[in-house]
Amino acid sequence: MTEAADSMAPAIAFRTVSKSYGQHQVLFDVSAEIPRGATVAVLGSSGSGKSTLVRCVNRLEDFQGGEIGVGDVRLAPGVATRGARKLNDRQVAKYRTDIGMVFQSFNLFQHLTVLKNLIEAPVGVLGWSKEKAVARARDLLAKVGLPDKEEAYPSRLSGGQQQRIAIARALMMEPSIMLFDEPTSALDPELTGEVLSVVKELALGGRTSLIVTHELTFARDVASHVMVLDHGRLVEFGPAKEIFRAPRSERTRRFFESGGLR
Amino acid sequence: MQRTLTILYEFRDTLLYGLGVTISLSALSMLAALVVGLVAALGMLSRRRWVRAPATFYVEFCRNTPILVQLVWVHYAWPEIFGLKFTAFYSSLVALTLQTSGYLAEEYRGGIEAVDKGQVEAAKSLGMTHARLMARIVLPQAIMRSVPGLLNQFVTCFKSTSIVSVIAVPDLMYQAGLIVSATFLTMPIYTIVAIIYFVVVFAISRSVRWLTRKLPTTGYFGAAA
Repeated sequence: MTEAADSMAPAIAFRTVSKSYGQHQVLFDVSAEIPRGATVAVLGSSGSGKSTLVRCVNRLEDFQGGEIGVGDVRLAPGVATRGARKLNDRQVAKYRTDIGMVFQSFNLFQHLTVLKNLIEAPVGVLGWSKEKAVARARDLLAKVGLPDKEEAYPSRLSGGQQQRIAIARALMMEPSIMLFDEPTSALDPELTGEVLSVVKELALGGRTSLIVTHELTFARDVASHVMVLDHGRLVEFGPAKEIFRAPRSERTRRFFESGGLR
Repeated sequence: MQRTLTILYEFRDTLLYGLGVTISLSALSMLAALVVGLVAALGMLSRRRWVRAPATFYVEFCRNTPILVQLVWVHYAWPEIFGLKFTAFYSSLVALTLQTSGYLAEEYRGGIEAVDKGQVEAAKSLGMTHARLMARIVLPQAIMRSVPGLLNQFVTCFKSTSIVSVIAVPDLMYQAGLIVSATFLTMPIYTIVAIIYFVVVFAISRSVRWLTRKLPTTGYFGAAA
């Protein structure tokens, strides 16, 4: 494949992805090609399967049908492959280092200080020197506005501060893809702003991002693309501008209305 | 009372020796059980069935057989079953380790399962392998959580040691029996022994309580408190 063609290839390609928990199907044949560098707002009401879809990308969830192409890796039910080769657990772990994830509940390591939360994986997994990791950590802490918290334990911090640290921790790995799973849903309304501005200023630039969110205003502000899921089906996918101006599906229109967008 | 104290003084060396055996036996088996219990707990939580099944069987066996039965079984049956013949002291050590490690494994497992799954997912998303995330993220927190339970098991382990006198390990209980059979001072000697056990166990359990309360003031627990 030529370089030009390669750069045109989607960063993430969902191909008829289906998933169920036992009898309960949560994703139905979801297909979408996410262009490289896109910021995709993944929208939908609770239980629509949007978190599940995003968690499939870094293999926190397996699925039962279809496949997901991420770069040169192909995820299929129960197996991940690169070319003809199956990835073992160690290689799947390695695959995840290029995909940052931010969770609704922050999930900072409670027994480690902020600084250690940030340098744990770069040093232990990527093999960086401690000096390099600490320097980058300090830089990121300054950028997320918490330069004085490196010795603090997570439980001492507000939710908004914890989430900014969690974003910094994901960015430490310099991932080319970022996944945000409702990053502000667990926060008091007055704290969502500080987190969203960190997402916007720091996390999105130059990389491919999927953001599961209920913040429609934020989505309209930052997203280049929008996916709308309804009961596990993709009802809308396309450039954000078009969709926010004129949603194609009735479901999306109602969703925007209930979110106070029009 | 006067007479009891005289007797206590007269047999102090014999009794102290017995107490020494009791303490070293419980301390050694506790140390061994801290390691064996952790390995068993990790085994029970393994994703591989061929690791999980034997580990679970081991823990259930240890927890569901009386210590007296284990002791006699190790001492008299192991020579035939496994060709392992121990002195009475080592048989006791093995039996107490079996029993205690079973309980400790459950304490560890509770601690491991109590670590928030979100942190495990975060560790995975940062590219940590299962082994690394267990070692670096889960176990440090699980062990800290298990400390009160582990310390409490030490009290139980100490009390269980009195059973080893049945295979003639010269612990405190056995020494008392020797003195009784030589002097027929049944009441005072066994009363003294009861008091010694009480004083030691009470001191240990009070220290455990003190330590347990002390724990949450350090590290991230301090922040949580």
